[in-house]
Amino acid sequence: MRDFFVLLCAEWKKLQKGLILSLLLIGPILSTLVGLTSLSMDIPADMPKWIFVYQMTMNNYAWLFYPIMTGVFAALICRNEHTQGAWKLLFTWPISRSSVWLSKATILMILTALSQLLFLGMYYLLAITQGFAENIEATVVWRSAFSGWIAVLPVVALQLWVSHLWKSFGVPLVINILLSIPNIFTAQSEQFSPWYPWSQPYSAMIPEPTESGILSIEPMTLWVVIFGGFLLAFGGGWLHTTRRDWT
Amino acid sequence: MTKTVVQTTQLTRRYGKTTVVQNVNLNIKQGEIYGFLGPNGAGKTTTIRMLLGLIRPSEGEIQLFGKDLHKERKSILKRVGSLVESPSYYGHLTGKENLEVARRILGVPSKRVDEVLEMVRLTQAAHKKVKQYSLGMKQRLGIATALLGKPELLILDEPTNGLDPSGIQEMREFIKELPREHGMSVLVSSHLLSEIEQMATQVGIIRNGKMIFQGSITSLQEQSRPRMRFGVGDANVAAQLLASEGLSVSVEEDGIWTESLSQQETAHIVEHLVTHRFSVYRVEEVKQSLEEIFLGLTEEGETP
Repeated sequence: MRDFFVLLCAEWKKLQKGLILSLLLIGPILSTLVGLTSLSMDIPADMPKWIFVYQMTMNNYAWLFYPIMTGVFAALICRNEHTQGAWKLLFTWPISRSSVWLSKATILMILTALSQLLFLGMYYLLAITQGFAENIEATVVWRSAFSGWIAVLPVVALQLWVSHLWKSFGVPLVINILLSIPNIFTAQSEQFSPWYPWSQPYSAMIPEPTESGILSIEPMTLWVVIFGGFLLAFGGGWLHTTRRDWT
Repeated sequence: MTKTVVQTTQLTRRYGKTTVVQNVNLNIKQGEIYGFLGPNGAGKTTTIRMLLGLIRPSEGEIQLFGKDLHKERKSILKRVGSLVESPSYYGHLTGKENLEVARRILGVPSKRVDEVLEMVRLTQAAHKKVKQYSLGMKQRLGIATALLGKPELLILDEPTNGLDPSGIQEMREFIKELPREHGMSVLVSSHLLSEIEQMATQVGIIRNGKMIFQGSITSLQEQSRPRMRFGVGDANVAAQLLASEGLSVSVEEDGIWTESLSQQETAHIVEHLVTHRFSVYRVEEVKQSLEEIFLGLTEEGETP
């Protein structure tokens, strides 16, 4: 346990905070601009303004920026180790290999959570400046953001594994972008969207004012695709990191 | 009796069908500077990475400080400092920040950072970003990182790679002081004997994955078989004469060469040459330099 917390601090110290922050802001800012332009559209009569704007803001963020940025962060937090041969340095220290994997995964989860917070923050900022903040049902948007974070976790684990595997910075990124693009089609599809890991953040973040509970994800999708997918990728990456030869 | 710090037993590593390291029995005693020598690709790096637990052996055992590395990896690695291949660091952090990251992981007091910076003379550059460091400074930072945990054993894989002559000299002086001043044992690898011979007390020579020599520098020197040189007029004809007597000789520019000879054999050859009216103006025994012994050992049988 000590190993894990010490490594977590070390990972935090190693993060290029300026770069990470600016990358974290890109998605939410661009999405909020889309949300802003949606104000001049015809809002459907049966839909409250706040929910329509939220939906428009969330659209591009959830299917495009969020999963792609997850891949970018995964590649970034493994980059130093790859370029400077520092994996070997890490693994010649008296720490368990598992805690190295676990600390990197935790950092990535924290970053993806931060991304959700910034996204919500930007949405609230838009709402305040446009004067519809008091109408927002906080539970709905917070549930949406939390569900989106849970839904991105399989992608987190898989991207981290891929980033461990490839020395190059570009390969995991290209894989991630290629896998994000089918979201355009699968997100619309009743058959595929519950099963495709990259479209989970989008499906999970669709605001559902009628629902209760803290997650807006179908139980089947939650347990099989999200939980199962996460376990598979997390376990695979962990086994790989702890067993492999570091030549 | 001095304690054994590193002991490998029949250490072997295969990649598919190729055997990179074969039945290596490495033995390093406390307080020694052990020079691990061999041509590039002989298996030095693979052996070293097995000692550090980075690569799993296919067969054989590794004991460090008398403990099994496989079973007690963490407690063993606490007592080992290493510099593997190129020094590892985080370029966007300063030298001091790099050491700070390592210090927290190793759990040593923060004043140790200043101590090691002082030891490798990087105090001045401590607050510079590492990506602005010269190669020599990066190498020194790597050594500083290796020294952070006050290791009892320091493992350095080709620490002088890419350094200029003065950097090499400096590194050598630095390594030489470690056992004396800090009681450390050092394993240092190189493909050049000249780098090792001035600091190592023991050497191990590896070729094609096999250990072909292990012992002190002096015992390596004893491996040398001195040759005899005869300065003779009309060397070619004289050599033919000696060859017809059944002696194995070779003619080189500076005379006739034979393998080492006893006093009687030498006297016999001189007498023989003189009675056949060849002028003999020099007879001498020539010892091989360490470098020649090393090259002889590592090249033997290399070409099938």
